[in-house]
Amino acid sequence: MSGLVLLIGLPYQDKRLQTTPETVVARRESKGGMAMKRLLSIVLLLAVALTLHCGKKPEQIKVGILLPLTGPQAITGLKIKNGYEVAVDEINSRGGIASLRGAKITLVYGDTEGKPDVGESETRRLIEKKGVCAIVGCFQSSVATATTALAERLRTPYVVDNPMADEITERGFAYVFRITAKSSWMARDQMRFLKDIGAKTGKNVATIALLYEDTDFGQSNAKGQRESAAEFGYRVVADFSYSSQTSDITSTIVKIKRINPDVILATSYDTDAVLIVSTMAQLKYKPTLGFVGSTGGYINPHFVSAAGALSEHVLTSSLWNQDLKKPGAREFYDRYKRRFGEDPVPQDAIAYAAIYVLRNALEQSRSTDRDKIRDALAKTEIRSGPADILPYDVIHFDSSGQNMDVSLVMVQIIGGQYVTVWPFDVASENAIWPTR
Amino acid sequence: MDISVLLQATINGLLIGGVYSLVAVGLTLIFGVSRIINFAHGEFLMLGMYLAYYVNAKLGLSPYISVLICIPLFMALGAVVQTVLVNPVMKGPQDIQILLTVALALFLQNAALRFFYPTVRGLSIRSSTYSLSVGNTLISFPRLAASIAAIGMILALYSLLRYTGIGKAIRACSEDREGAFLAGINVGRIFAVAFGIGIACAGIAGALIAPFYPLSPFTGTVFTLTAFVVVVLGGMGDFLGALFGGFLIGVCESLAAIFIPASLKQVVSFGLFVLILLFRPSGLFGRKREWLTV
Repeated sequence: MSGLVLLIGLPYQDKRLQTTPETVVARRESKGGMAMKRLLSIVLLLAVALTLHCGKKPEQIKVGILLPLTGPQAITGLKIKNGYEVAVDEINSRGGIASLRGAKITLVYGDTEGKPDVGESETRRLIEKKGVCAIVGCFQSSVATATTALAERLRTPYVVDNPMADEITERGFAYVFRITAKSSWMARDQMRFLKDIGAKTGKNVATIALLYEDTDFGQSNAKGQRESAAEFGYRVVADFSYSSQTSDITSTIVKIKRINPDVILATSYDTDAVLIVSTMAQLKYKPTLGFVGSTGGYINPHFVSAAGALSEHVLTSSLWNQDLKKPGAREFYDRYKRRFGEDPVPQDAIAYAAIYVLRNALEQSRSTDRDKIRDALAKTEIRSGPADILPYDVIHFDSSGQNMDVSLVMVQIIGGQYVTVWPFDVASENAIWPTR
Repeated sequence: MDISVLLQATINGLLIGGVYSLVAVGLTLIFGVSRIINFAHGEFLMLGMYLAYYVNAKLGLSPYISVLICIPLFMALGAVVQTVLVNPVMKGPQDIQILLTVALALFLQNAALRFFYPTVRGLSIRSSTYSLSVGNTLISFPRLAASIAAIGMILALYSLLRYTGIGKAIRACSEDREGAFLAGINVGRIFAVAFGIGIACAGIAGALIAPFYPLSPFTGTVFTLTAFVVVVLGGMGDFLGALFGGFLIGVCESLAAIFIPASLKQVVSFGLFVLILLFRPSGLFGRKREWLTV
């Protein structure tokens, strides 16, 4: 019923809120005077009163969510939306934010359309017109880079969940906190995996071939891999870029086969990932020890269905996997699957954790004041509870707002399923190594 | 780089070149007859791939059988597209014709996104990974099959154009529309047939590569550009030029990727493209005329 009331009041409410922040504050203070406006229907007044309520007695805490909900990125965007909703429903059904007298969290969505400029105008709308106390988002690095800068100017805390571009937390911002890893950490963790698996099985890696698509994604990851390989003492014996739009990749695979490296580290999008493994099969070639992908096209379940048996034993970095040996991981997976009827993507887990990180800050700050929430976020230290479903021990931020101890995981396709095989303490099975 | 690597790359270039040839022959036929540049050519190839995929997934039939379904289906599709969409702009300015086929390409891509979803798919049949060993080199079975079938199709089409009545009518229409009309040829129908054959070439090529190339709604664009290079290389409207141009580009790109990074291999084919335009604008055989040359 109250939803209906809000709905009827909505056009009016929006018009009302198109005023400057100053007038909103003024109106908020002279709330008693609002009763004078009896010439308008009670219904409309109720709607306005509800929106002006937020700052004073927070019965609902508005949190802005930025996601691509339309446009080409919407498929993943809509998926991630589910992750937030699972977390918020859990929190609200368990009594909301206790230190704020059980106030409930309400998510207010802003649709970035996958574009940085639209993301900026949506950020402004959420902060200035919707009065959100914090922002969580937003899937793409390009959008995050632009929207975090705006949130910083508007002094609004921003929990960045999935975007990985290094620079997001390297600009000295005070209001930006990132849960996930920097993209350069993927290469670092791949080398850690190679070192650990070598020590465990005695099959040590000496030589590496880099195979990467030639846009920013592949090029920057290959740069990180070159640097990390040097650090770990691995020799890069092949360094080949290719266009993900290629009609044929045989020549490149022929060259790699000739060089015969221990490991191939591949960075690909969807079509080219499938093309690479099928071309390798046609040339009857497998690297001596293993084939390691870097998320992208290799972590997509469609990779397994499109490449079929050829995808078996392919390893890839990932940010999360449902079989992680962490207390809440399985529970989260089950709850998600029950509610939406499909598997979560890794981004869902991080989105879910991001809401709990924010909840923790709300509990600690006992306030919806943006600066107080920011201060509480900076002091985050989560070692247990629902947010502890990520493959590392603690969520805490360094002075740049970067979650410090993030580790990526290594998953392997075994029996057509993604199985966590590293880090060993959260792995559910032993890696098949070597894969040849 | 040793000889076996070069040999392997050359063989692979010849195999993929056969497919390029078939796509390009369709494009050059359409251009030669109706002077329409079909920017949606790759999208019909993409549809051919999806046809092969669904015929395999739903009916359990080999993608090579889907070629037989492909021929009448895509000829009809092409004839309808020609009659309904292309015919009204045949006498219009060239920019309108280009806009029409570009719009058709976008429409087909987005329709494919809507109906087939953007997920990448693979048609994996048992023979997808078969390879024949010849000395130190491997000849991939699905690529060999695609190449042989493509060459067979091209030769059949060549005979059709060269020796049959309808082939003569097609050639007559491309040389002189009004003359053909006065000689009693149903010009409108011939245009529809020629367009249909061209589209069928793209569709067949799609069905043939489906066993070894992953499909997505955007696969077509990968092949459209290559087909244009081949057609210009061979001379626009030159049937045999397109046939040899396909093999030439296939081998050039494959060998280039041995010596330079694969992301630069198209520098070679487009470099060749520029050189041909500069020094031999009438194509490899230098017999470019204003009509289809068989």
